[in-house]
Amino acid sequence: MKKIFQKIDIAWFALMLLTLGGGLMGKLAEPGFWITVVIALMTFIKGRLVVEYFMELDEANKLIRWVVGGFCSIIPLLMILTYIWTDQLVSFSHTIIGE
Amino acid sequence: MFIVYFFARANNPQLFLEGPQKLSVLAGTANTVIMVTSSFFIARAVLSMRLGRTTTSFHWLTAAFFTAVCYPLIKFMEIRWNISQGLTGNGDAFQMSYYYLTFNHLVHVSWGILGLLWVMAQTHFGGYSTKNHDGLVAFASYWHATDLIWLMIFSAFYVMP
Repeated sequence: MKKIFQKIDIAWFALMLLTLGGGLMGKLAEPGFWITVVIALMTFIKGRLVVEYFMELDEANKLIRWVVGGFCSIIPLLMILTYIWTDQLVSFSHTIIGE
Repeated sequence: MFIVYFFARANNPQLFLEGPQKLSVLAGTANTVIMVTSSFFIARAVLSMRLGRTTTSFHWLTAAFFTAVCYPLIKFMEIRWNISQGLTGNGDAFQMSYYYLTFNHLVHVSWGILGLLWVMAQTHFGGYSTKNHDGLVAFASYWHATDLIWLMIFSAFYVMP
């Protein structure tokens, strides 16, 4: 029997739910560590859904897979690290611009 | 570009707390829905082409085009909203990083829409086949990457409190 919904349709639906959930959080969320973690995780999942089901990188060159997959992980990770290590990042930025 | 954002955010926590409150979350969410949905339509077009259904592929691309053109239209309305909220682009670190990333993205979307017109024409006039549709796949990769970057921008500016 032909499947009514393919994986790509489910991926789109999940992306819609995560996007609307994100919009709601943008309206209601207060700053905090755990909310930052949740947003970072949602961002990571959305990125992975695009990479896995829309881009179909399974058969791509290893370097391309690594770069695109890395991008999906590094931005959410930086969201969390910027929250945790704000002071260190400020000191580092002052060091590199020579203040 | 994102490094600029994270440095600016760390150095100006108050600006990044107040700035997002002036943005239209509705416009950001709408543009995310547009980017994701147009990306989905293009992925569908590639799948159809792979199965030899050229006409169906063209229909998916047409749907993607009409979805994608909504992005600059909403962006235009959003910028008008931003200006009314005092986000004029010549202000603080938040505004600088916001416009820097979103305008860069808008330029890429605009190029992408032109590219989409090209692959639509190629598909319509028989330029692609089941065996050879590398141009369509290359365009799809570009558009999905543009979508991916917007997902990060959306979280960074509109969702993160």
